[in-house]
Amino acid sequence: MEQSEFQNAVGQYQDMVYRIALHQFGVSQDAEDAVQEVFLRLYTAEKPFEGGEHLRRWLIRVTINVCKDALKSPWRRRRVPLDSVPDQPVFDKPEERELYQAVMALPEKYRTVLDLFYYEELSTKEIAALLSLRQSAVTTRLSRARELLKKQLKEVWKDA
Amino acid sequence: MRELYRRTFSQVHSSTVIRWEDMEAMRPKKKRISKNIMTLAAVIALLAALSAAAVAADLFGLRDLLLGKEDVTMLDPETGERVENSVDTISLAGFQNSPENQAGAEWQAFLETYDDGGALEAIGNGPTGLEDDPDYQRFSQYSVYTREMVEKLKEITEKYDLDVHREINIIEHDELCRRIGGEFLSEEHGKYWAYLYDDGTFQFDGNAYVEGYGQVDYQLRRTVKGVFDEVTLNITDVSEYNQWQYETASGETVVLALGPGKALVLGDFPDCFIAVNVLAGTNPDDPLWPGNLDREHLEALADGIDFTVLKDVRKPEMTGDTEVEPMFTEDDFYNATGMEESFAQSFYCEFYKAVEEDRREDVAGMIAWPRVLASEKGETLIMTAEEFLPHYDEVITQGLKDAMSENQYTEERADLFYHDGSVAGAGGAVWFTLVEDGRAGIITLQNPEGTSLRYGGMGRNVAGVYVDTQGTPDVYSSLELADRGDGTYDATISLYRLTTLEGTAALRYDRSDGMLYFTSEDPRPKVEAVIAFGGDTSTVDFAAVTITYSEFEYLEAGDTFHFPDGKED
Repeated sequence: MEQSEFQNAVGQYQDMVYRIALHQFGVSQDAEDAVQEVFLRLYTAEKPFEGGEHLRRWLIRVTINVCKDALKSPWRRRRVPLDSVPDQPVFDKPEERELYQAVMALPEKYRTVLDLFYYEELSTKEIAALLSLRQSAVTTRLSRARELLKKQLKEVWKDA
Repeated sequence: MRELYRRTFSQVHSSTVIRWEDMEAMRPKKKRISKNIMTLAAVIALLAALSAAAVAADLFGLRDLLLGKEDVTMLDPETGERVENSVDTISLAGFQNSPENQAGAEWQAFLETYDDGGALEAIGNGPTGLEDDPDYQRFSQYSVYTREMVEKLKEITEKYDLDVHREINIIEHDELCRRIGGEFLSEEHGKYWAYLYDDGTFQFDGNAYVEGYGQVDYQLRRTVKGVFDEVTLNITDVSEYNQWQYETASGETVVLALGPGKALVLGDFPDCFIAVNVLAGTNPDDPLWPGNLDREHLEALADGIDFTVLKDVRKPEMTGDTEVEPMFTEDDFYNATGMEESFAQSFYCEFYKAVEEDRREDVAGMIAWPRVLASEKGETLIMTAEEFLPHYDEVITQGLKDAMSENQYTEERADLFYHDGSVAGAGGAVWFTLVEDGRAGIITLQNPEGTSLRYGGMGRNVAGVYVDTQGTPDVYSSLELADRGDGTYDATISLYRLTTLEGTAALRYDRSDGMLYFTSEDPRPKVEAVIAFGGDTSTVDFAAVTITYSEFEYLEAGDTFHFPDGKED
């Protein structure tokens, strides 16, 4: 990969990689570590990409892999209460902050499917393939995640 | 929901500086056998021999857990510069004389020499080709994905006569306590979800309020003996820790270790090994876990854990993950909507299926008529299912189908919520309620393109005179509605060359359709009609009267009279 292509990929997809990793870990420091690892893998990948969408899908897959590797060694994970996360984003609206906090408070298995479904707009079939789950398991996780969010965010949810 | 989600998380940004120039230096080096690991296997036998004496002298501590060193690359959080670091790694399965520790050391030594990056990247999340292999299935809770790894793990577990984790449940704290034998945390400790294996090994990320210090985050893992466990812990540098033995409030003796960036509580018991990884140490400037912890703080933290409960291992029931409580109970749902949730799910899912299968008559039959069809072209009163069919594609678009599909969990269950007595699906694109005779009816459909099928005027001021001029300066027919102040109207319907009907018009709350239901007054022949309204959301510009019942010879059910020429208040 050429330097310009690499930097373009970083510019275009760094936040996506971070977002997916943040949903996996729930901790920004670990997510930042994953960002670095994912783009290192891109740097060393030495493979041609058939356009932006191919690259995007590849990065999503690698991000999931990197995070899964880290999560397999659970003691490398770190947990920090949200209140003490110094770099929690400043949101435009209260309901956005509430949603962020509610999502981050969910168990990791629910967070990831939420992001892949709602933000990255992957189908449940695609998510199932990425996470090595049955499609029904993905829909169940989505269901539970949404029920949990609804429970905590009734007003926000209704307004949505 | 998707829009709010995207809006929220679009404000989340990575702050890591990724530069092409740094990548080459960070490229992984060829795997090599760590000098420390190479010597590790050789010294295991010696350590085992020494350990017997160590037990007698109570000399166990962090050094007796060491597995070796691991090279890691980190970014300095202050400068952003890359920092090479060689860190000490310890086992959490037991001290060095134990088969669990030795098995862990051999596995770590194997992994150090194994080209995991390449193999894992090649496999990705695709099938490993080993799915049908009983040995692979047996190791499903471990990070193995090649035949070579399976064989090695099999060899190690057989050599040390260790069982394996076979199943994992993710459960709430109370459920964990129920399964392992009781509560083991004091009130000062947070109660969080845990991962529990079938053999009784478990872990969770928790925190505790320590008097004189504040909140301390930690991770607690109980590893059951006789079971292979691959979890290790990076402690940076073993020489930086102060260690001492401490008898906790529960009367059990543990080893406490206090380092600059973290602290540890270690308990070695006949059935299990317990490690608490405290995410704070003595260094206020530690880049990862700044802290100002002292001995008393760590002892207080250990006092809040009842090791007498944890040390006795019993095989837990593996009855699955803790189910998440539903958003609402059946009672809540029923009280708010008049429907059992199961009834609502059943009705909605039947509607979803009818839409999916393009059964148009069935779809139309589930809608509560009459409705107003509103689009950028204007508003049209639709009285019956039959009248709706020519407009079907204007409302039931692919966008609406997508909204329904993405909020559908299974064929029998959808993402439903309720508000103001009605139930919504498809993220609010479909609303329904009980209409009559215990039946449910769709009252609103709104697709992403902006076309909707909805009620005709509820919530708007509909009092006034609606007229039909037939394109002339004169009024031919009129509908006059006078607000009686109680949600009902005195209504006068003057129909050119037919008759003038007087009566009352009122909303029917059981139908929630926003239309007025008109009944003529005695002694004239009885006539019933529905009155629908059109206009934007705040004003009403026109009305339509549709006869639903008539004893008057010149009017028939189904006759519709439009008053399109504006309203005079």
